[in-house]
Amino acid sequence: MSGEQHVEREVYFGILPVLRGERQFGLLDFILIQVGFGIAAWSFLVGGYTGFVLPALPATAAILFGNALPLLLLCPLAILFVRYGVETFIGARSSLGPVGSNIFLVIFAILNLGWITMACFMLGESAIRVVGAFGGPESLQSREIGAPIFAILAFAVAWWIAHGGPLAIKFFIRVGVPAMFLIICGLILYIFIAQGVDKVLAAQPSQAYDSMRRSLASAIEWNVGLGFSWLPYFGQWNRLAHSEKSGVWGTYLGWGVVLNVAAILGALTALLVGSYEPTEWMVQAGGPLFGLFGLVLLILANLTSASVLVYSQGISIKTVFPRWSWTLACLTAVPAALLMLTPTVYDSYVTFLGYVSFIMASFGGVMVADLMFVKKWRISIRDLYDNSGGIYRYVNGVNWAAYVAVVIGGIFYFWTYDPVADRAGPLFEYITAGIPTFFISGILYMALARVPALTGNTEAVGATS
Amino acid sequence: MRRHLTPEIQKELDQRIEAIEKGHLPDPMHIREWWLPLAITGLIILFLYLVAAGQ
Repeated sequence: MSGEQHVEREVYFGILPVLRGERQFGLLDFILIQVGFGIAAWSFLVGGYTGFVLPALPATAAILFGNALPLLLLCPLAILFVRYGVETFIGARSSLGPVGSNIFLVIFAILNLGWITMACFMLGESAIRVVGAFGGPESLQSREIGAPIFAILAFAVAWWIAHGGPLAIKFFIRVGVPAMFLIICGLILYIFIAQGVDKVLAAQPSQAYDSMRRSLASAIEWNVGLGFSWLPYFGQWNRLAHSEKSGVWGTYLGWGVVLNVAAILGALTALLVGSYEPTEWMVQAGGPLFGLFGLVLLILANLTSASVLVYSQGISIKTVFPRWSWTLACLTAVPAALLMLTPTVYDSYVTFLGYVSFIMASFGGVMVADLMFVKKWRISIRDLYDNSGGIYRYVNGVNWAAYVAVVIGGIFYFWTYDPVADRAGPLFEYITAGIPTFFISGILYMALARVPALTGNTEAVGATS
Repeated sequence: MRRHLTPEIQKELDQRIEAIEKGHLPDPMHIREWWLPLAITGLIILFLYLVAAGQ
């Protein structure tokens, strides 16, 4: 069977609801796959930034809270995807409408470009340090020339791997997961054996804000961004869970709790060496030999992460637009290469997390409120697949009540915290921004869902179970 | 979406939808089984509170 045929089979598997007897994941499988998929550049980076502004204990608390709470809030959606065996963008039709769900897919694809850029540029950063270790040309050691060249080359390789079909996932499991596992073991050895717990606990952050409260609020906000970012990936894994409990517990424990190990280790290492950049602290912490080995592992891990991201994007797009060719679906990831031309996007990681936080918190709030309080857990699987949208048609395929709530949630977010200028509003230090945005969007949606002009007055509320 | 599928896949889809409508669903989650995520989150909030109060 060719790569294209493998992809077609996966797409049909992605479109069709998975039946009870076909589910592959128990609780342990589920946690392992979530952690394997989730631990990558973004975990180390967010941990590094957290350790840059907070001492060890507050950094650990901010990471745990910032990731666990968003996952707990999103977990009711896991039940939707487990129960009906559907993919995220098919399940989202019930709350956003068929066209509204496609708009959400486009937003996901745009944000995915940012995640691909993070993985590839970190690979570029690792590569220039390896070139430097071997005394390579000056230009290839620079962040402005060398890192973009290596990042774009890596992206081309990742794209080619992903385009090859499900091979990407096998590559990821066989290479990326062991590479990440070795990096984590190396960090544990460095932090707890080479440096000692006392030194870690006494270390002070190198770039803390003026007040402790502001540092804590910012660090929580960055981690909340990472926590909410898993929303579009909920369906693809949960539809394969044996039971609703496996899905909810696995999602919460995998992405909300266990995944934090990488971020916490990143934060502690950043505290010890005074840098948030993993490629920098890897050499400082490991010395020339182990540091170089660590960089090579980081290159492998980020290459596989980028492949999986391109593959996930291609599959999601093919699931919604089955007539698109696999090449075209994968080509939607190509604009990421433009974001790698300079270090600007990579250096703006916390700003990017701010955008992810407001978008995914708003959508998450609306989707959870719709499932729990508007639909009251009653979803019509037949109408999810209806050509015209069935009872989920809303107004021309869009649930405007959901989108108005998302926009107002976004306005609240930017009033509370402007991630571009890193400007905090009057409430930010007390309530942060992403978590209240989730609640405001959700509550607002519940009120707006009663306005027929916005919802089209469909029978969506009374769907069959 | 359905219109983009081949007749065989559409038939397969209908069979699956029918099976799900007849209750061929995975084991449901009882409300009591939320205790673990709630307990862990509660402990994390307590930890954050103690750390913040101690600073």
